[in-house]
Amino acid sequence: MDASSSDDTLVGVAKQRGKPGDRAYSFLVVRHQPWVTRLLVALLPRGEADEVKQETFLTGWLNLRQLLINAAFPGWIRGIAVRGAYKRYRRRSVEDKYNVLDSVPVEFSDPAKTLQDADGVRFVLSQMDYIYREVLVLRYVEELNIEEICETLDLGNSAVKMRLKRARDQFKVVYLEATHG
Amino acid sequence: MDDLDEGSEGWFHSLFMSLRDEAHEVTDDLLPIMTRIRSNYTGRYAHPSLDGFVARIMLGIFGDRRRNDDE
Repeated sequence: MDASSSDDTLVGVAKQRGKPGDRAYSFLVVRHQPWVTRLLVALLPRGEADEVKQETFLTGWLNLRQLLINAAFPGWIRGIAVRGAYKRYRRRSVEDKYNVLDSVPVEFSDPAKTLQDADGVRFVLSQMDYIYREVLVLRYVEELNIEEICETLDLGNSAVKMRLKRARDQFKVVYLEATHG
Repeated sequence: MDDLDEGSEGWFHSLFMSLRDEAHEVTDDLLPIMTRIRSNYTGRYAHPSLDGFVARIMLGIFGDRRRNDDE
């Protein structure tokens, strides 16, 4: 087993725990943390995204034996990350009710930058309802197909399509407001 | 092929390209992640952001260990 081993092999070793298990899980973290970070940074402010990423991989390690198909690790860890991000968002929403000044994430608050770059797109996303932001990120950042989004969000096919349509509509409205005042 | 809306698909894919490319800018969190995992072995895991879900799992694990010790 080494860093180039398949997810199937690494998860199998990691499930056995001990030092080889630690090492195997380290390889899994190194391999998958770039896209998990990308996903979470698109959903949450950076500081929160980094915390949720750590919690995602910790939760993954704790629950690894519940993963029945080892090779399905990426989709499984994505589900944990998406649920973790939603929980973090909900917690912040409650906190923001009592602290209005903190309700706009600082790093998203500069619309002066062009909306064609990552900060601009993230700013528009931050102005949207969370469920719409979430489905847009899964579709256009993670480039998941409808079936994969259904699995990740535990929703039916038509519900995902409807949510995606509404998300695109809302994004366009916010985008136009930001670009045309 | 997804049964998705029309021309806006291309516009969204193009617009979100900058976020997809950000994968190259991520920080390496391996050390803090594995530190938290290893500290969990000893039962000293106590991160302030630990949520109830993980806490319940940990209680289950430690509960099992205690039962095994008793046997």
